[in-house]
Amino acid sequence: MLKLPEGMERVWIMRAKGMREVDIAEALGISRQAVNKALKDARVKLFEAFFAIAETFSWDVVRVNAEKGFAVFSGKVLGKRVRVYAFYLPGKGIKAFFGEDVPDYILQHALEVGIIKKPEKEGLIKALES
Amino acid sequence: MKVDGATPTNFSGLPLILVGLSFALIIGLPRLASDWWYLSIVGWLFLAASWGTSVEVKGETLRLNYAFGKLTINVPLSEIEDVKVVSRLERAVLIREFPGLYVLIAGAVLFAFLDLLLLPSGLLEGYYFGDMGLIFFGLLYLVVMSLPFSRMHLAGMFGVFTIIFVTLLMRIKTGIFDPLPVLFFAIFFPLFVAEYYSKEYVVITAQRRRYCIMAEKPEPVLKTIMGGVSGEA
Repeated sequence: MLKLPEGMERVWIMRAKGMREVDIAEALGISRQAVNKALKDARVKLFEAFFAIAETFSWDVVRVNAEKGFAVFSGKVLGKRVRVYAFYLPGKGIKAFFGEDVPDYILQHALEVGIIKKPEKEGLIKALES
Repeated sequence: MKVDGATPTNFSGLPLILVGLSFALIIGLPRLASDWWYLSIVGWLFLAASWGTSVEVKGETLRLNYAFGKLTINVPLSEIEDVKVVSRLERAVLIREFPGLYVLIAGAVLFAFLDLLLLPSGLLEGYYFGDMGLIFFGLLYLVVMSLPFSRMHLAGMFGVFTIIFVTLLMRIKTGIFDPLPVLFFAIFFPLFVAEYYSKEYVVITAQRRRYCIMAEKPEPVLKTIMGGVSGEA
């Protein structure tokens, strides 16, 4: 299970929440170049992880967003075609959910990183599918 | 590593500017300065140059080639933030991704409509056919790009309305009903829609810019990008 290194994850989550690179650098007391490098590496790791999941389960990749850390897959489970939504959660790694079976803590996370503005499941699915 | 069966589209950036210039030279200039008609040839060249030729990953860069391979747009793979197969998403539409394209096509349709209104009535049909074609295909393009890919039936319905609309326009301008243009649009409409929906559209967001790649199947595009991101390309 992929987990970003602690420092990299801190930079990534700050950026996902909408902070500018220069502000992140200032808040963490590091250079802007270091922030940029951490973000690049985080994006690469997240892409690798999401694509690896798709390959492992033979799902089709529909969308991968490394900036906010989510992915949309389409796959067959027990003979039925289903939608799978996956999220990278700081400190926990990647969690995936079938269809619209999204728990409340994912809604909270989506709200925090700015995927949605209101904690509503329909809004989240709409944002992921747009 | 070249991606087989994939071509970059001219929906954004410099290729879209080339499309805009070609529209101005092909549609606009001949009406404003008829002596300069030969410049429309340059317009057709610009239009051809705006078409993407190939997609490849070289080192850590995605290269989108245009203008017969002479123009390359480089996208650093580590800067890619979002990759989406728009044709597989339930609510995504291409127009939302590329508003500049919407403005350009809507502008061309509006220009053709105004030109048609200014043309005197009762001329030979050929005088109106260019504007009619532009209005028909422009409206059709706007509709299919404004609808999610799961709403193909709505695109079909709107296509029929568009045929009726241009037939009425032709009737108003010429004063007669000629089934030939209707037949022309009725043949090209399903071909146009079938071609549009037979492709998959992969939209890549990097450094706040968006790029679209058109492919028969998106998997080779995604795999090549992924290979490049992992340093395997």
